[in-house]
Amino acid sequence: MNTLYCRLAMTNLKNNRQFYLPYILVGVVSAMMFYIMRAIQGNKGIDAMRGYGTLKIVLFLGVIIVGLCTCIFLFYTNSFVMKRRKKELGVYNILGMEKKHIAKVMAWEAVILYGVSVGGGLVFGILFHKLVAMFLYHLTGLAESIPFSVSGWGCLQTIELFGILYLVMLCYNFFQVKLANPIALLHGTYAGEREPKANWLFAGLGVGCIVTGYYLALTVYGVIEAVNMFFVAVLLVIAGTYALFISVSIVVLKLLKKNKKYYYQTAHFITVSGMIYRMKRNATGLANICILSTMVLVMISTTVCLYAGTEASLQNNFPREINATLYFDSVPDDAAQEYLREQIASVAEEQGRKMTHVSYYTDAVVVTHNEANAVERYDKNASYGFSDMGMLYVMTKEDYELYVGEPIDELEQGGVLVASLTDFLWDTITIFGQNYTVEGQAVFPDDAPDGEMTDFLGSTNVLYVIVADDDALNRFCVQDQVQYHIGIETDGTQAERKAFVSAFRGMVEDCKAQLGFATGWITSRVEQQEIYLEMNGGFLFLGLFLGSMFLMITVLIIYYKQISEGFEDRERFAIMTKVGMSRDMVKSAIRTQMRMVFFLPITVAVVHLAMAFPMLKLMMQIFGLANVPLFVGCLIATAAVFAVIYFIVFRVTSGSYYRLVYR
Amino acid sequence: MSILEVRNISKIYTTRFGSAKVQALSDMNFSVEEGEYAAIMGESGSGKTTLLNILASLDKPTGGEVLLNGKSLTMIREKELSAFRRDNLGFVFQDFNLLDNFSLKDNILLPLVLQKKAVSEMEERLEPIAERLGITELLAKYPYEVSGGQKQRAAVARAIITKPQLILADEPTGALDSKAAAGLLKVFREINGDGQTILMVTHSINAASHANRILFIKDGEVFHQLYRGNLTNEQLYVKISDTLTVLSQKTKG
Repeated sequence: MNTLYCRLAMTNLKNNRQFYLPYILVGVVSAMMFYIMRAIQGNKGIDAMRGYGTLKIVLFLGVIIVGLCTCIFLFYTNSFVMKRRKKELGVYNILGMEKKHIAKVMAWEAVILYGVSVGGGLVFGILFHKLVAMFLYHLTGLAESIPFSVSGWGCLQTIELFGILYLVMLCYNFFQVKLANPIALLHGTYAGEREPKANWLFAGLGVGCIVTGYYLALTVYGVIEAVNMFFVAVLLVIAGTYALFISVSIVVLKLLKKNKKYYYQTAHFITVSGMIYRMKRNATGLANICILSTMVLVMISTTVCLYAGTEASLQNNFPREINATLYFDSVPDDAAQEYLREQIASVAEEQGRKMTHVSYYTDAVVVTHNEANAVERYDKNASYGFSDMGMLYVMTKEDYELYVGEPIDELEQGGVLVASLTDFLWDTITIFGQNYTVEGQAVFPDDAPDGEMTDFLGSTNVLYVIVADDDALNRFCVQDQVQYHIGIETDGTQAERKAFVSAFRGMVEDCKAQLGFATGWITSRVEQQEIYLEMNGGFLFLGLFLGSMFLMITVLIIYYKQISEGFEDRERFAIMTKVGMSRDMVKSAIRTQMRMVFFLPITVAVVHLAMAFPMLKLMMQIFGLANVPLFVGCLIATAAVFAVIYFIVFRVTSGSYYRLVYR
Repeated sequence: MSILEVRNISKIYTTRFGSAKVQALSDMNFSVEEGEYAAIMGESGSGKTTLLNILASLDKPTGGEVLLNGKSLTMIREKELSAFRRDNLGFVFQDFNLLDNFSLKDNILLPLVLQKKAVSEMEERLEPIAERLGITELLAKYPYEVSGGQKQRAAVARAIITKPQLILADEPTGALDSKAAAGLLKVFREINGDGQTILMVTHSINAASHANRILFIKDGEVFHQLYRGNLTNEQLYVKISDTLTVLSQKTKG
């Protein structure tokens, strides 16, 4: 008896291969991806790796996202297939099979699907694991060799996850069959369709959401605000996208329909009325495609950009090979400074490095609250929030001259120069209750020290004040220390530069007691390079991996959409042919509608991307990337590649649609 | 003058693997005059549907030819066929074949839209037809919102709005209740009275008894013809009924 059910299940799968082939394919690919991700993440080699463990976190995130996507995605596919198969199950029911028997057939089907998906997924996963791992190692600049290995945990967890998933889906399917009576099952695929009503309110809300989201994205300034507003804007645009496809589209089509001159033309007549129905049935699917496409585009373009811009952002964030900041209680005297310089020179000599650039300057940095021309300490008032925060940088005329590379006019005692990104137009400035005469505005040639702070805090909240001499600067050190900055550029290979920075660190430690300072931080570009590569390479890997997964989801949704539309349109076009529409006309009408349905989501996705650009650009600065042309290039390239893939999918899937309609 | 002439047409279906052949029509001859209202009767399998498909130029005969207004259907090129069908033939189907996504008005206008007529002309033509068929009030409704009889009237409106040479009706009352069927047959009479040529294929004696001439087909041939002459519908009904009885007895014998 059991073999009968098993055979019946096999036949069912074979007869419905149009639905099940992609379903199995998706199962195999998801199982493969999950296994690979889990195997790489669980690899002991990664544990032993240098770096700060960023990669581990990134990969762990990857496992979770891949797992989640797999669940959602397989469930979607399953419910689509079930909807289409209700009629067949109804026939069994009417032919005298009890629901118990149907359940048995369905269970066999699930077992077969599960076996093929997980089995195939693991085989491909084990085969491709090494290749993918090699790709990851290459991206992150790891040199370790990877042996061919099978991850027991990876296999086990894949089997478990998919086992639970298929079981849940099977229960869901049982429930579906149990709920329905045979007649309902028989007619499950066909239910009378009403023309959708134009919902102006919902459409208006949708447009409002999108416009607000776009407005937020376009007018945002400052990285912090971008981060804060990003999710709000994303949520608004997602909600708006659904409304756009669900009701704005209907409203627009109805308006077109009202225009008789436009509507009663052969091409428009069939397209407009066909589109109204298509939009009603497929609006959510299209919105999903649109949002997924946007996600793929954002994910891949940002990670590609980060990776491509690694060198540039290193240069940007670490303008010198070595940057050191030492905290002194007051401006160090000439003897102390001289001593430090001698020590640095001797370290360089010891290491055999030639220093191509050495620079020093001192400043006082205070967290403040700036309002008009009054500056007070941020900690003075506990009620100050994050948006009230500002920064004050004070440096001497002498160091400023070194910084900009040219002499400036003498400053009187109590007189200051003020630099800020916006014009500073007051004659006096009050700093911590003390009045100073503003003798003029200072300008930094290209980049002010800590210039990226303006991006975080907004341009008006960061002030640079230049004072006459060390004494004047010392007055700002009552509570805060002054920072003594050293910047060094050297020659040498990676290993030589690494050796130099560790010798430099040792020297600073040795001088500490004698000169009386605390070490702020010492950064080395060559060390950061490894961390950057690990992080950006890890992100790129994850971006590409998840991007291809989302792309697969998108492609599948498109495919199933085409198939279900094909079934629905077959009847309609048969009638039109009888009434005197030629095959060519039918073909061109179908093509127009297909094209609209197909290119609408990607067009909207590209518009979303363009509007999100100012926000994304700011957010990229968190990762130290300020290279706008590079980002634009990455966005355009990603969008172009995506469009090509999308178009290929369109061509392939429309083939199966035409076959359905013309059968 | 004959509007439709069927000359010696035959149709042989070959099964997929070419082993068995089925003769659906064999040497069929008849003609329909302009302004005539003719019905074709026959049992299932008598070749009615095949004949209608050939007349509708949806199918090609294996032999013989069909002339519409002296023009042979077989000579028309594939590409021009649908335009020819659209311009010269009007169809009324058993299951209405209205499109769910169009209102009745748009369903009726569909052939005119395909003919690329101006909007003003479409509405000019629509108005009297809708009035005549009593569906003016229903034009804005959708097929799923109206009754079967109303759907069929919309289908008739769609068929006559192009002013076709010939209306082909395939079991037009097949899906209607008796009241709706009576209404539809009345409509057919009226449009026939306006000079419209109608050829109707039907099972229903009642429907056939409204025609002026009845052709009986059997085994792919025209077997017998009845003319109305001066008979009333009821008298014609009896005559058709008798003929059918004779026909079926002959089969048994």
